Amino acid sequence: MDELDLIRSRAETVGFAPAEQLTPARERLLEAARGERRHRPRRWFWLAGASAGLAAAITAVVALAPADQVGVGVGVGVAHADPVKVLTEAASTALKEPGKPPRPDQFLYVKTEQPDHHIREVWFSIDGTRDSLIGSIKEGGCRNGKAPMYGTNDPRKEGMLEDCTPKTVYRTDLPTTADAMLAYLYQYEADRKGNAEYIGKDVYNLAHEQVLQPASYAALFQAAAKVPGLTALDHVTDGAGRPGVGIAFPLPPGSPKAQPIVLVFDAATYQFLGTTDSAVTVKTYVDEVGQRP
Amino acid sequence: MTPDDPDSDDDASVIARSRHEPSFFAVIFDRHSRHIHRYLVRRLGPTTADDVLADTFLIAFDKRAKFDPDRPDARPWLYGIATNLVSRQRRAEVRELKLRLAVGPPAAEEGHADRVADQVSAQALGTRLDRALAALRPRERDVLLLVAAEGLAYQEVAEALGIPVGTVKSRLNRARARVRAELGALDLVKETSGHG
Repeated sequence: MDELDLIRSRAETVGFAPAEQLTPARERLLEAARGERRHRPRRWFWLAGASAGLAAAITAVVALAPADQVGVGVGVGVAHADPVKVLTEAASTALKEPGKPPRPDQFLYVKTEQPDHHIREVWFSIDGTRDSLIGSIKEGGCRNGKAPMYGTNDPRKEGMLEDCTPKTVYRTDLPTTADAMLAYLYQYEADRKGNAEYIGKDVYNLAHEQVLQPASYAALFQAAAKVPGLTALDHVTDGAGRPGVGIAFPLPPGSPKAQPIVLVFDAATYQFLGTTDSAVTVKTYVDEVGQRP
Repeated sequence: MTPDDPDSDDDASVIARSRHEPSFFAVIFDRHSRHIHRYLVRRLGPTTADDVLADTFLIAFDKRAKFDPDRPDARPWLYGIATNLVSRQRRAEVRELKLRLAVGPPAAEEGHADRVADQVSAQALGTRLDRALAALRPRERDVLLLVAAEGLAYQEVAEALGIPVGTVKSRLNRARARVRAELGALDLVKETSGHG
């Protein structure tokens, strides 16, 4: 079995959908064909969805239990932590993170542990111009609009250049207020059903292998607090078994087999630890790619 | 409005006719939507796939005048449109791969111990495969999945993506090397010996 067989057999677990599932798409096509509807109204649809999402989020905050009830109802399976309070504390902690900027020539090193003992290590070039490493795979840095290709099967292609734009993991471009951050998160997600789940994953992605300015990092958790339907879980462990308090993002209706993404924070300091499936155990800057602190 | 049965016509003829009889384009939908939808579910997950399927065919409908009449089969063209839309949803795709990592494979059924062990090892490999796919460059992932999962020929991938066949091959080779590196040679050897 080679990797192509493996991909094929994995793909075969997804079969054809029943015809009725495709009916709405067919109807949209026929409407367009009959000239009954403008063909591609989605851009406007998204904007409408975005404001609806924000409105829903704002309503949800009002609907949450008042803070004076925090601590009431401790028991098995019942969280005494309020998700808004946990995330607000997490935001305060985030704000206190040392904001010492890295040098452009440094690398962000992040080590993530997962329950199956898989360890992921990455070294990302801060300014995106130097070669990064994801595990053992080299990623060409982008210099003057060109990045070398690595890991090519054809040795003649190794190191040849391809077009690129430098990506930085040291983010200075993100909003610094909760509302602006929420809008930033929802701008990509508002069109999708079950978007709270996706927002949870976006929050994780930004907190995981990127570095946000303290104000943005705090705004990220403040924005998360405005997502409707969050649940706080008192006793969870992250991917490395460290105990903490969890914030579960709601799943879209009709996905009984899925597990929600649960962000995990230290129960005392409210520092972000990871998720119930992953643990960020080291996150720091190093001078050389491949160097461990 | 149901178009009459055009079984004898190839896609190019149907598309040509749909320029004057727009509803005729539904024939193209009926011929190919299952495949394109399945491809989108594989790449974006079921939630996003339904919407992107509709968009794929709306775009195809809008561009039907530009369809190359020398190509009898519209499927590679539709795969190309769908792939372009996937690339706009790159965040959704990587999320889908990560979602599979987070959700994990379905629980193994009761069964013979060896079978369970096989399943566990296949599942572990599957998890690492998703991780490897998530780490690929999008352009390489496009080619790899169109070839390996969708079974398109190199020429069809070239048509779908509007790139030369040589580029298809080089992207495929690069993607395979990256996936192999991520999976590790050891696991593949174990799998091979385990299943004959």
